[in-house]
Amino acid sequence: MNVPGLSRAAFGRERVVWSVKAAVLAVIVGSAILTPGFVTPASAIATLDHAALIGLVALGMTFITISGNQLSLSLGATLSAAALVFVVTTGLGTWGACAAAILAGILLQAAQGLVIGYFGANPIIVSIAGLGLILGIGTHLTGGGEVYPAVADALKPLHARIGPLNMLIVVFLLGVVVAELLLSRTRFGRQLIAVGSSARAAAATGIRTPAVVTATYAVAGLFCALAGIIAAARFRYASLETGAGYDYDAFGSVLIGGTLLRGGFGSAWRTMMGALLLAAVHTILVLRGYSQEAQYILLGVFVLGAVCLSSSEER
Amino acid sequence: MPAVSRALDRIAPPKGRPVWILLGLAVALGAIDGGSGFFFRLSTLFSMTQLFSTLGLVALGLGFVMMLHEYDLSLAGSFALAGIVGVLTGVENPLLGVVCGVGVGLVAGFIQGCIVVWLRMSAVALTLGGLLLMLGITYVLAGGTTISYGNRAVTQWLQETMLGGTISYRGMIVVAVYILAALVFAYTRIGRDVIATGSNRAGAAVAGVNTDAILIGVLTAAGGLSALAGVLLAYSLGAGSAFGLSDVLMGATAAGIIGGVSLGGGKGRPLGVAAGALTLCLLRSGLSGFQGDPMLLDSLTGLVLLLVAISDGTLFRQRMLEWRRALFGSRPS
Repeated sequence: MNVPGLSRAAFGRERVVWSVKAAVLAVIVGSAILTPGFVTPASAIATLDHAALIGLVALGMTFITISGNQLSLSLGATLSAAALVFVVTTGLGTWGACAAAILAGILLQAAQGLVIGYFGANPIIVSIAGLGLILGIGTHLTGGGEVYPAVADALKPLHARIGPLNMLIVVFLLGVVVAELLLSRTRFGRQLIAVGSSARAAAATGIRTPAVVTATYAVAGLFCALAGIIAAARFRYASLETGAGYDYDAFGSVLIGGTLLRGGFGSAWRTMMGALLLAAVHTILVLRGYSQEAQYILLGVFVLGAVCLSSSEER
Repeated sequence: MPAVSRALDRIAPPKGRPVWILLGLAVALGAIDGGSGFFFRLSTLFSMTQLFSTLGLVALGLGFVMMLHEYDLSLAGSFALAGIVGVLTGVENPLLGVVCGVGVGLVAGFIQGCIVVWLRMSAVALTLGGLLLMLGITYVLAGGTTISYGNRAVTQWLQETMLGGTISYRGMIVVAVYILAALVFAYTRIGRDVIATGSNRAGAAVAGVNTDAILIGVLTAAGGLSALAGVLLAYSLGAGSAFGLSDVLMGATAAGIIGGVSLGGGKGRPLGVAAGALTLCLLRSGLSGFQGDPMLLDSLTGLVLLLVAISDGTLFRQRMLEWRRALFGSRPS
């Protein structure tokens, strides 16, 4: 066995990965400084705001990725469904509607988690099935259009601000703290990391993997529902399109933050940094007058790069 | 004739199950119709083959990928991007548009295949990046709207019907591709190598299969097939535009699964996928014949996917055993 050669190759790869990361970061920081208007309070708040909506979904995705189930394609649809439930139940008052929406989000994702954890079903296919079912049934119920709140006053408490920070940013920052505590300080978090590292080893040590996976997806549903509620309050309506496309941004944030694709390692801080990086790039592109389409391409390049770097680190 | 039946055995789907599902559905829809004439119309058959000529090729490509126990999200991207590329490059010379569009799909599949092999990674996450990149390029090329295709003659030619108005020329092209794929799969080493690689990659490699080449080749072919579907659809609609993920991929996945491709890899035949895709298309055209809600079909497709994902789950047998024990008690041995 040529062990020294192997380790030299691994060392070389590590150096390549690090230099690519450093170069990308340098380019982003450089263009941020050189972009007029980026280093202002207004653009900082705008960036944070953009990061927060992606970030809430991304926090949910973080749990799924750490659990070893890679990604879900139904988080955006769950966001939409929760937003719709919130808008429809505004008659219950603000907090009643919030509770209903959160319950809907948790149930929609936990059901998928149960199927994945209990039967060992393929998580990607289950999430595509979930996407189809949510969109199909949702379109049947809503007629596919926009739904406006029955009681518009119920949205008011959600427009509150704390200093310069709006509700979305506050909820996101709280969410990061809660997610981080869940992952690092609770038994659930440790069990989740064990299941993500090796589901069979975790089961052998007595961890009830179906329960852990179901709880993981329930947490993801909770974060999607929070994003859905705030999105509905902000736009003052909800539709099945409300959450379209968030799955991609969220997954990009998770990987860019450095959470490992194969599961078992990751954190909420990392995802927050990933979302902030994506949002900063978004702000730079907007300030420089690039189109929405160019941003799609850049997101694709980012995800591709992050996936490749992530999996070459794993070896 | 034993020779003919042997050949049929070789090409036909495994145990014929997908074909029975298809025939069963046709009989059921016919029975629901009960002579009211909504179902037994030429237009039902034609709309089925039209849907099939869009879904079928993507399903075939994705089916091959699923036989390898992999999954390719970027097929939705190749499908959309190739449509736009075909529309942009194929006005003067439609064949050039087909070559450019399919070329884009082939190149995208080849590059992704090489990265998957090089980094020994799962294709799902990588192809999500590929999907985003291709959708981004599609949006840039299309400028956010649909682009109309200027060559009316090609559009009309593809829509021309034959065999008593049951299938368009576009549909015949798809059928021809399927026959070619079925023959290659049945009579060359490629088919056996794909199945072997999908069942047990390490074992196949030990047995002398070039599993890397098979993986790259299948991802390349899948990209090309869904690109061809995209170009043909854009030509026959006379316009190219961007599509959503659920539109293409969900149907293609369900078609493969109904057609006997296992999510665990190592199972499936091209004509099985054809039967699966035809089943979905018949369901859709049959439902619209009854003035049914087309959204019902999306929910049904989702439900089918969910049920198959459950029954293909790695723990499914174990759970069923547990349930049986819990219900009937353990049998004395």
